[in-house]
Amino acid sequence: MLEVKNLRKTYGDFTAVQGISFSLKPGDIFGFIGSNGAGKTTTIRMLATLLEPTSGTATLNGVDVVDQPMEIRRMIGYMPDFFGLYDDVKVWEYLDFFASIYGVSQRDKVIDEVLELTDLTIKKDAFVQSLSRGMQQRLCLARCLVHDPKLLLLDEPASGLDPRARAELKELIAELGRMGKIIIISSHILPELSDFCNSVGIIERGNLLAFGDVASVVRSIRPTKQINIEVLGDPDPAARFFASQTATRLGECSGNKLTIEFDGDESEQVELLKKALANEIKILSFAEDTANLEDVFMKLTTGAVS
Amino acid sequence: MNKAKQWWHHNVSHNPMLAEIDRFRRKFFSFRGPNVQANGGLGLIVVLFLFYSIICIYNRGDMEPTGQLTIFLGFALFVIPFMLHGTIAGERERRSWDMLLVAPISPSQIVVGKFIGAFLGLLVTFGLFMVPIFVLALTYQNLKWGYLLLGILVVISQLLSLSALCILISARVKRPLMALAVTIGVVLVCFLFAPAFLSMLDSFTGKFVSNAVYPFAVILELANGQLRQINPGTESDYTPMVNPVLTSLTSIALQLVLTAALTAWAIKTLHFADNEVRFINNKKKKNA
Repeated sequence: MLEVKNLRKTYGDFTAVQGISFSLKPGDIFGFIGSNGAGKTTTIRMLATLLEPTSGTATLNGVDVVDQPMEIRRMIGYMPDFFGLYDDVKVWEYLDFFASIYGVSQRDKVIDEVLELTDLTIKKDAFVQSLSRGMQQRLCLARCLVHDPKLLLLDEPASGLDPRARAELKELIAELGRMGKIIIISSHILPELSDFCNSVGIIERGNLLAFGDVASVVRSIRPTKQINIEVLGDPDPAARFFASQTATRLGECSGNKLTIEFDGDESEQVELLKKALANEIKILSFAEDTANLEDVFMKLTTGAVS
Repeated sequence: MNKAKQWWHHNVSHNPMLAEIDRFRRKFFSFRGPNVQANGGLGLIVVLFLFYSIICIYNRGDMEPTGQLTIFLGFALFVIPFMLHGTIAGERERRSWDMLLVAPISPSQIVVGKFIGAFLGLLVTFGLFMVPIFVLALTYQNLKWGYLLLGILVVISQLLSLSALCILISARVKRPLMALAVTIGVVLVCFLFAPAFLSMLDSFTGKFVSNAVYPFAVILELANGQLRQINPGTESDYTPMVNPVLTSLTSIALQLVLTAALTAWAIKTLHFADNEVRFINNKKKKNA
């Protein structure tokens, strides 16, 4: 269990992180969203024991980040937003070096396991510098996993990767989540995060503007459903019909398309559609416009950086 | 005593960073690495070593072995900065430094681990260099083995302090090239300009105290001691000091103290020189 309470970081008069709080349980994959300079990396570096918080606490399974950094370091895997690999060694040698630093027993077995998990077994004897960017990224992740950490801190793990490498990384992270690890991922690539994160936090100027599971965060900016309707022919009868219904409010109308805001549950939504068809409204399409993380992000943030 | 034992346990016998020994070996003592320059450099050194060995074997019985140690010392002065300048600065530049900082190891373990890795590599090189020297020693008449042993210890102590110096500079400087330039500068000052200046002063005072801090002079003094032993009455280029043994021991002690001081300084340096990162001090909070 990771608990962050009022974590704050200041540099003189400048506040990089303004007392953020959240908690995560094993298996949670937390997407940390924010513009460049919003405070994501600073927060992650505080959790990684690389930066000393000005105030507030962060505990992982009851162990405090500041009081017992050595204990925390044994429990975390940190992947920064750059590779930082030794390029003059082979893949297994690189992992062996870090496994020995972490005091891993049965290093050969563990290395084989993490290589298999990250799909790098075939590259075991290749030099690190000969790997593609995607493979180097996976090797970084393999390094984070050699000591079986409880918490993974991944700072922009997908940046610079091609679509295939991103898809593979996404799959791998989801698998790690299923293994019960707490994963914090910072990213700008919002559609990707919503695919596999079960909770998100939006940060701007060091403030955590929203935190929760993806659906609840999306609902927080759009409490009512928005339904896009396309009709055949004259849209006026449809507009009149939907305007007259309870729990609906007519929104934009353009050509044969109209938008309504609907404040009902799914069964009521089905009933509304049935009623419209019974009233001979010629509906071509009737679909809920689900807000996504990008909408949430754009609505909540102003684009300002600290 | 207990503290010393703890220190040894923490930083030497149970230091996970001793994995650096293997990394150092793979980096500098193997031809299978991907770095063409490193492989070329290693190849050149092997060829020079073979050439030197042939010369030694050819001149066995005639060449005085202790003085030969200055050749290795000169080689070490030239090569060590190139080998060690990136020890920590290189980690910063390639940004692998953060990975070490988030590992469960202390700054002292990082520095001592890197130091041991580097020093053992140099020691192995020195061991190989000693093979032709021993051929000379075994064939040289009336050799004073004590003088040769002292010479070896002077070289080893010098390797220690040079390694510590390179690691300190690498810890304090951000970029490896800058570290290389500073290290070469310091080596030139300490081993060329300062000895020249001191010997100039000595020539005025007639005391020759600078010899104790200048390992080349110490080794040559030991070699001259050998020559005087074999050919009594032969005047060497160096004026005899009070006692070559005493001067050697002083030099060794000085280098060891210097090594300890430079290493301690490097460990302290890690707390503030790690790329705008304020490293969480392990002791500070516990004591608070």
